[in-house]
Amino acid sequence: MRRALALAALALAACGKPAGPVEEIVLTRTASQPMPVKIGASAVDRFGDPTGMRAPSSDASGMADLFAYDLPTGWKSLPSTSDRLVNLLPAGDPGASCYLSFLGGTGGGLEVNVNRWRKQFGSDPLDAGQVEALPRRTMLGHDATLVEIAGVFTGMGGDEPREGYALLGLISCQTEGSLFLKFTGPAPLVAAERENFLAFSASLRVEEGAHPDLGGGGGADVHAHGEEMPEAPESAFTWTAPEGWSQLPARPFRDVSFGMAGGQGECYVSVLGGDGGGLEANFVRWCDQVGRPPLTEDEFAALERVPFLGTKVPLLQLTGDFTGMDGRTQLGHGLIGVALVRPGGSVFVKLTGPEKLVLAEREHFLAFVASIEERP
Amino acid sequence: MKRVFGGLARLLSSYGLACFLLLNLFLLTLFGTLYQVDNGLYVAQKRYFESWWVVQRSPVPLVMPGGLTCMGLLSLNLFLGGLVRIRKSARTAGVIVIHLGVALLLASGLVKLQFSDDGNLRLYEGEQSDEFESYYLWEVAVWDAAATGPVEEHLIPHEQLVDLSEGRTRRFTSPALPFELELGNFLVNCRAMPKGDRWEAASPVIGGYAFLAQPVDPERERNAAGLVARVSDRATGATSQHLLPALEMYPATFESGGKTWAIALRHKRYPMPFAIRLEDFRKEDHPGMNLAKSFESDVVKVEGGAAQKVRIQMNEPLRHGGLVLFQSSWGPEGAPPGTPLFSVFSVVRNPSDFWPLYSCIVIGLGLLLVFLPKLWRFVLSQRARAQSVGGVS
Repeated sequence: MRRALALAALALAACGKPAGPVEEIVLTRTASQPMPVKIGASAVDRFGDPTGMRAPSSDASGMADLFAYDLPTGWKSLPSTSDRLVNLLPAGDPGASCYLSFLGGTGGGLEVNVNRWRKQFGSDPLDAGQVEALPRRTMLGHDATLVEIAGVFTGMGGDEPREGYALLGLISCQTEGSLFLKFTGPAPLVAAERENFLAFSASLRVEEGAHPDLGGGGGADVHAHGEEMPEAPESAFTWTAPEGWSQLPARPFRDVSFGMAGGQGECYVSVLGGDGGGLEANFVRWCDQVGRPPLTEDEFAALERVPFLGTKVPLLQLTGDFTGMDGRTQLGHGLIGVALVRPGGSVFVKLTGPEKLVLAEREHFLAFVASIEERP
Repeated sequence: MKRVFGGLARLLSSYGLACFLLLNLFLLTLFGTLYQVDNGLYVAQKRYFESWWVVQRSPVPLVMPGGLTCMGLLSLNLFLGGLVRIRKSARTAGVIVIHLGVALLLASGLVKLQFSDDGNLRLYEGEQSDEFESYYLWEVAVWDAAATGPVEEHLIPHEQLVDLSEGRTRRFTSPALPFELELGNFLVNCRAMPKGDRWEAASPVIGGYAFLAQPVDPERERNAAGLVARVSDRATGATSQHLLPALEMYPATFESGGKTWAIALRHKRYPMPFAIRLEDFRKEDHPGMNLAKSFESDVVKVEGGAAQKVRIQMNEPLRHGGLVLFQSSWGPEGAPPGTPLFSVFSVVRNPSDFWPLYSCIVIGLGLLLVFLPKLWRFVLSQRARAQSVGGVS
């Protein structure tokens, strides 16, 4: 951290001073088609969403209203900031802080972030197995890892070291975005407020009616379990999301996506014009994604039929090594899917994830498929 | 002294050295291929084949001459042994010709290494382009943001960017530009993100954003570099700072000299002497599989107002204007049926493109010169033997 800050400071300092001889730009070229320019483009316009997720904007004033929670006795709510979507003063102690923050993408992953926090206390890093063994909780419908550290706290910016401090936090890292709930303060206070913190984290929820879109473009989905999902205006369907499923930000080729089990599993609905290549071609593609040969005619005829959009469609259930559209192969995965092929537009619903999870979510999947209806 | 040179010449032209170098070449190929599995093609190529020495710890601890040393010595060995010191006679004419062919083959590799450009051109149907871009090399381009048609771009090449890390900066100016540029903070792989207190910035924070450093991907073309630019107006002294990530939707813009300028970090672009417009892209899968059996592109080559339809498909590239366009890929990968696809062409500008063909012809001629006389002598001896046997009987 200090080294990075030093480097950044050095770079800044260097930017403000002459840096050796000036070199002349000698290369020129006439481009027939210049790159598109948007004069005065904002950072969001320019950088878009490099992680597939838009991070919170600098103006978080509207986001604070997204969340509701049960404030522990003696704790105080503070105004939210660009980094602190929920900002609390635990037990009214000015030396303590507790806040919820969000980062687009995985933020480097769980292990990196656990060890980043440990580094702030001068603690040795944990290996992957030790991180995996940390206790789990649920935060905003997502699987989260509970982190507890004590020691000399130096904070994020190389602040003055504070001895006798402790950290109690939850981290949920997923491809779509990562949530961090961090409580730091004097160790006795953190120990005393541990149960309050856990109760607070469990009570965090999205305000009824609030759109879950953190930062306006994506974000962790935080719908309450079992509720009928708010109807996305662009979707041609309505549905009832099963308990434990949370809606994910819009993605290419998808009408709606859901995550489950801390982002390990995923289910999505996609709609293609016309017959979408046909049922057989799509089933062949799905078989190919798990590395198995196409279904034989007998296998195809023997497929279970399930209700979907007013008719019965074949249900394809596969296990194997799943290779997704990003080209990555994940071992021991499962896939359950249905497809309704129609000349006027075909609908596909697919659930993927670790084999055990997919099998466990099978009934949820069938209920979800059965609940899908055309929007009136 | 003469003895020393003589001994050196004998060593450099010896069969022993040739055998050692060929064995070394085999090891380079073997270990380079294994290294590529975990570290990617680009790094493996640089480490094993475009290096003077290779020091490796695994899978076998070894220090050996790199590709440049090996091929250089092999060329010298071939030149001295196969062309200079070889006994010149009618009997060795074929061998000399073969060595000339091999020398041409080696020279073609050297010319390709030093003077070729390669990259790719990606087009959706209906799109047209007259430039291709490098897989690995970067450049900073500055141009008049208000221009809508052809525009002059001021370019800072890769070599002047990649060493600008760890606080190093470099200033640039041009009589045609009313400002001075200072570039620094080059990162091989990074993303521009809103800076929060949850991650360490790898750059100054500008407008609330900073670079989040990413691990360097061994497949070099997957990395997205980043750079920080500071612009100083020469007339007013006004300055502005900009993050230049390679992954951006729009370039940074700033005002200077009464104009709006755009600046971007991007993959190096190479102009082509013609434009390519993709008319139709077709992909055929293997029966019952989602694996492409073949894919081909119908393109229109536009040059000097003339348009010519050409089909580019696997193993049938378009060769024109010193460039070779191969049908190399398509995307988006795994896209469902019905999704618009784009076609990707590998583009190579290689002055020695045909040299391997010429060298094969030369080597073939040399082999004929070596073996035809032997065949002729064999035929004559067989005929003589048949006649002598017939005479006895």
